[in-house]
Amino acid sequence: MDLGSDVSVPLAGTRLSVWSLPAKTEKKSAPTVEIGSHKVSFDELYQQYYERVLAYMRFRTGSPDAAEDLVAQVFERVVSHLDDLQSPGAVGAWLFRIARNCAADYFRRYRVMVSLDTLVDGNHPRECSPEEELVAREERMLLLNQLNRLSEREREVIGLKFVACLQNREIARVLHMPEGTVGSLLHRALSRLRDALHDEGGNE
Amino acid sequence: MKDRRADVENVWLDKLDAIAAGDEQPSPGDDELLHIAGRLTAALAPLGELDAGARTHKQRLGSQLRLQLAASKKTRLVKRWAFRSIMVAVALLVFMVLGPGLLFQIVPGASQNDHTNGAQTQQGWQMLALHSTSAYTIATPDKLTRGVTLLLPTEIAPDGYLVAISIDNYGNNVKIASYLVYEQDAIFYETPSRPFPPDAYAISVYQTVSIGKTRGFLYQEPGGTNRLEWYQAGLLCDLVSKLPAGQLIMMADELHSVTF
Repeated sequence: MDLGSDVSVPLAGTRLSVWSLPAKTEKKSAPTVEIGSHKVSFDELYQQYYERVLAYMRFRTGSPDAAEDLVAQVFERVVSHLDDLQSPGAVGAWLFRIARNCAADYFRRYRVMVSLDTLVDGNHPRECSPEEELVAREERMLLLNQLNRLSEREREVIGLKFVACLQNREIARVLHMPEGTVGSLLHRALSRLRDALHDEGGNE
Repeated sequence: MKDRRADVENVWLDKLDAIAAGDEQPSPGDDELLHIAGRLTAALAPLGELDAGARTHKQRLGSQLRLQLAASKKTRLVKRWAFRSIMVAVALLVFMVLGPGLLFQIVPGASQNDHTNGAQTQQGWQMLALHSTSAYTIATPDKLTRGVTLLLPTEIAPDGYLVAISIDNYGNNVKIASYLVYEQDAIFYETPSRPFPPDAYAISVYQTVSIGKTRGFLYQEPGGTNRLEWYQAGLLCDLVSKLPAGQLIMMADELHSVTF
């Protein structure tokens, strides 16, 4: 067969321009996602991270409503970019990098000033006595007020550590910085918080 | 001294990790910063708690995402196959159009070979000047990686086919090798792969045919070229020719699995 002349044989893989898969009823089993060679249940991923992402967004935006919208955006991006994920061990950092980007888009778009004070009266589903509730509320107000005084970078690292509950290694991946720098930033943020609390006389 | 300081820092960071995760409470002997960390953990914990509205949002979003994931799985599957197809198509296009090169070809009996112009003989193989491509590495079967299994014709002399290999990187840098086996009037693509999803051929343009005991799918392209696709021996097979469909099915039936 002379491939050099009058080649009319179609090229490989030109099967159909549109590979239309017929609509089928969805399977009952929980959908799984393939990450590298691992299969991960999407439900597990969602259950594991939903609250953490929501908490992070509440912390970043100070607005429970905006936080819910942003959580939806984060998980929609997660679903559409699952192929980018290569290792189950990197899920946390990858997911919070997406969350951070979504939050950054939100701030760019709406140019809102964040005040964490609005979160003081947030959700209190845990049962406790009115006195305990009052003490907890005052403590939260005090700390959230002082967090407002930290730099954006320090607040971000506090959010990833204490709200998203990420390891320093994961925070380093999210913020694109060495792990040691994360440790230093955390130490500095806590020191500044301590100083601010001393100034307020709140650390008795 | 430095090591000792690093150890202290690591212990402090580990303790901070445990406090931030809510696994531990700061103890009286811990420094003030760890106590502040403990207060911070407690103060920020309610941010992740869900009231009735948030629970509803979570449930609704979860359902939407599951549907979206199911739909995107199909899209990803289509994209993956489309990408593979495009890569092979591009490779072949380059192969046919660009730069001169050599492709080994053995015809069943040298005397039957019509492509004698410019042909050379090397190790019993008839080498024919053909267009080459950087994407495909030309190889004789004896130079294939050990353990590679291909489907090859039985009724053709051992030197009656030629093989080209393309190794492409797909998502996550997975290397996929595609093999071409040229017969007299047909091109045969073989790619080690998982089987197609059962739905893949459930469209009217494909006609289901039997290749021995194997189910095949026949598609006639507008130019009159027949394309027979099937899955066998771990290979995604694609036999393309202008020969009549019946003859293609016979050719496919005569293929046999050879492990090098």
